[in-house]
Amino acid sequence: MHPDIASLVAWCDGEVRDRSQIEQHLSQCPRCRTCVDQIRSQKESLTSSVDSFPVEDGELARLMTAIAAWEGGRNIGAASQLRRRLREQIELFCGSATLEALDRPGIKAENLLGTSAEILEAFLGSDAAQAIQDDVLRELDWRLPQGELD
Amino acid sequence: MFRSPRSLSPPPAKEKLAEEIAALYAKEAPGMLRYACPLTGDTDMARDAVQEAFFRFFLSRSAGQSIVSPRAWLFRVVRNYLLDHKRAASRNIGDVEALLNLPAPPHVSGEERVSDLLQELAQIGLSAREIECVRLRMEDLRYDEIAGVLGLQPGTVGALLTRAHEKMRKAAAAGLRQEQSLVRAITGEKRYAS
Repeated sequence: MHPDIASLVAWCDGEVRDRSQIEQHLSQCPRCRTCVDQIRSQKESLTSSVDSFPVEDGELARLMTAIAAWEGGRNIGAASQLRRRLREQIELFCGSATLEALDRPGIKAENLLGTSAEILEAFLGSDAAQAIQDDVLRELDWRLPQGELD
Repeated sequence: MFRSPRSLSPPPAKEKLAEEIAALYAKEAPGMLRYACPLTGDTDMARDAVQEAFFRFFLSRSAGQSIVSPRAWLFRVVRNYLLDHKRAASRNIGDVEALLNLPAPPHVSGEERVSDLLQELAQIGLSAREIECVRLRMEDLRYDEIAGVLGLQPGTVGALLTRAHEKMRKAAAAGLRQEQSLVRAITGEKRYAS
């Protein structure tokens, strides 16, 4: 019996656990081999036509500068913004007592992000916790002004 | 799928985290940019999305979170970032396909901007989801990673890729011109060719 087209596509993508069964069939079946050749040539045609988008010089450096500024406590505005958003979410979902227990004096905003994510995950599940984290990080103003990058 | 349960662990040391991010950037940024550009139609915004994804990755890792598949995690952030921006700019909030600048299915009418390229694509009949799966697969994401990026089940990804293959095969059988149009539509070649 021939494997269905979905199995052949998955096999070409390396997504079939027991590859030997299909390999054995392919060694005896010219029709399925033709089908596999078609799938592979289609993939090659797509891949070869993909444009390359070189990353511009300085993009990684800008990112690393922003990261260093955050780590060095020099991006106070964004850290406060993150803390404020986290506090709102923690209070909303876990209550003010939990908020006060988590947001202890001296705790960094990113550490509050970690502990709140863990608690939200335990109460709401990982998808909801991820969605809340996405929301908290959305439009966070972490980019540094051009002058501070140089 | 991105974070393992109870995944919080001590954050990596600063230098180690910087090395991790630099290595990941070198490996993934070109593919993320290639994925983002045709989605947004705006190269600067695509570059912003990539930077945003890596900064959020840094914050999450600094928070001690283990990320099971960094590549899928980054692609998901890029996609959501672009969707957020398109939503903010569009009145048509519910229409994800229009937001992604992808063709609606032929039976759907709307005010979405459909270029000649996308009209060709709609004629061939690949759905927005199918195109996204093909695009992510072209960046070598596994089915479970694609599922995580798009919020689907891995089995659904397999089914969408199979359907896309069948449509492309039929297009190829119908004539080379259509197949080339399809390739252009999927890769964004027409708009971004150098």
